[in-house]
Amino acid sequence: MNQSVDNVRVTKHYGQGRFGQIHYRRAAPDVPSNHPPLILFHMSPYSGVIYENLMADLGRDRVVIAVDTPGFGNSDAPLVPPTIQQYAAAMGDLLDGLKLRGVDVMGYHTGSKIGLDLCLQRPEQVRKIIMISAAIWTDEELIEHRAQFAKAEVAADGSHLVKWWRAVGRWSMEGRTLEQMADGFYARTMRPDISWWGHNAAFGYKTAVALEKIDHEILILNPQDDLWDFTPRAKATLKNGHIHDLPGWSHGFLDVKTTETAKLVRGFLDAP
Amino acid sequence: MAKTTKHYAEVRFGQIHYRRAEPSQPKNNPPLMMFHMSPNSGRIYETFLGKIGESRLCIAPDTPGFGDSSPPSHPPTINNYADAMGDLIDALKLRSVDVMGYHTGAEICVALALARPEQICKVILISAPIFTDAELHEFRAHYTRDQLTQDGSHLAKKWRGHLHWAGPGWTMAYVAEQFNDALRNPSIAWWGHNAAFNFDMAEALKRVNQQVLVFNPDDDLHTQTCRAAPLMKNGRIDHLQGWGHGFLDVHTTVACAKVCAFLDDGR
Repeated sequence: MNQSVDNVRVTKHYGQGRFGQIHYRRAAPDVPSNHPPLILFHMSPYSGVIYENLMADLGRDRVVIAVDTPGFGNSDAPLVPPTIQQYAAAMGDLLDGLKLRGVDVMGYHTGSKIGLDLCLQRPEQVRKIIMISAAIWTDEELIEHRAQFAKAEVAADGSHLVKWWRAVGRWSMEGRTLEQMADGFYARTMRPDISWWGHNAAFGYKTAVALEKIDHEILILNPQDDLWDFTPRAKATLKNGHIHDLPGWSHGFLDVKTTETAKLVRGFLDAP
Repeated sequence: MAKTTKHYAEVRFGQIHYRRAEPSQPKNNPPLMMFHMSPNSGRIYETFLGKIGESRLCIAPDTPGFGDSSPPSHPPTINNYADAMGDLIDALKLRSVDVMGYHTGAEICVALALARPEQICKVILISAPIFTDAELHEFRAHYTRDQLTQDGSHLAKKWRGHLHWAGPGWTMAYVAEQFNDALRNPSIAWWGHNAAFNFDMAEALKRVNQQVLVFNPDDDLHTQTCRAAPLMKNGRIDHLQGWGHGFLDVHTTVACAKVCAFLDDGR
């Protein structure tokens, strides 16, 4: 965690959704804020742990909630591989359980698609949307991606862990330490039997079609990660938003560039 | 099967995460608190909770700094861990409780039984290690802080170490699920073992007045646990031949029957 004196405490909790218990992290200012709560959705596999540092900063002036997607982190899993729409519906259950009205949403990779669909399902409740990447794939790319992110094989010699660790290192931005990689790595390796469900849902979601239907203000952050090439395609269907390229930034930027990210988020969400 | 749910409460080190299972109809048995080994979490009791939770309220916390429980600010002692578990008992407004602990968790049980003699009724220890100085020297050198590597070789090494103690009936999926907890909080994951090696189990066991049942499976603490027999005032050892780590999942029904027989005897 970044140790700024102004940062707020991040606490963890459980709520209920259609698939069972939903685990979430929460940060909030000492005094109530006029800003709408910000709901954060993580990438696949991982969990809300990726947002801990950012939450400690953003929580100074608004309620921030980072949810573990059902089947990831500590959230109960659905019985069968879900769609993005089903993930989003479960997130809606949590909003209802927390009695939240208007919210802003922000999602990372798979989470960006969940945020988008939550907006389609609850257009009156969602105000602004931040997407970290908005990948639009061709059919050919989808075949390749589905093969790459299929069910993980656990090897007796532990080589699967080495493979995953190296993949995390391969896409980590400059400045991300081994300790930072290690702190979240457990969330990357949980439940290998079903951890492919997040990618599976993402690959089955029509992001371009969803974007065409949304009039809400959208900010797409485009770090130079594994989706850098696929996100610019979103521009063609984006009705009320823009893409902000982040060259040189890649996975780990929420920890390496926490203050800068918080500034980008506030700049967009708090603009009139 | 009793339904298991997960929760948080506040203790002296911050939030404590715990699993909870209970019968659909309330029973008169005292609640059972269950403490895990290092560097795991309450996850080791998940299957067992479903079974034993049919007979009583069961609470399996993650030790502070493990699983999803907040860490202390510096390496704690077994007594510090036990104090935090006492906070949880208070937060849950539990009166009399039975306790059960696995390896490091067994030491937490003993410390808690001494700290709260009126409140802790019966004690079940899965291993009750009495170390020699030479063994302590060796164990301390083995269970140190993980050295992270760029190439991930530290993970393969850790995985193989975990697999070395795999018991009969373990599948790769099971290993992967349990191993995950060993990857958490890598900078402080050695604190559990550190506390365990600094605790004088022999001296503490001698002072425990409660009824104690020690399970001694064929695991890495089997030899050390045999030494506990003459130290106990009111306890016995049940040697579990052929059972290793994971027996709570592999032999759930039999293990549950043994636990219930001890806890319910004389009540």
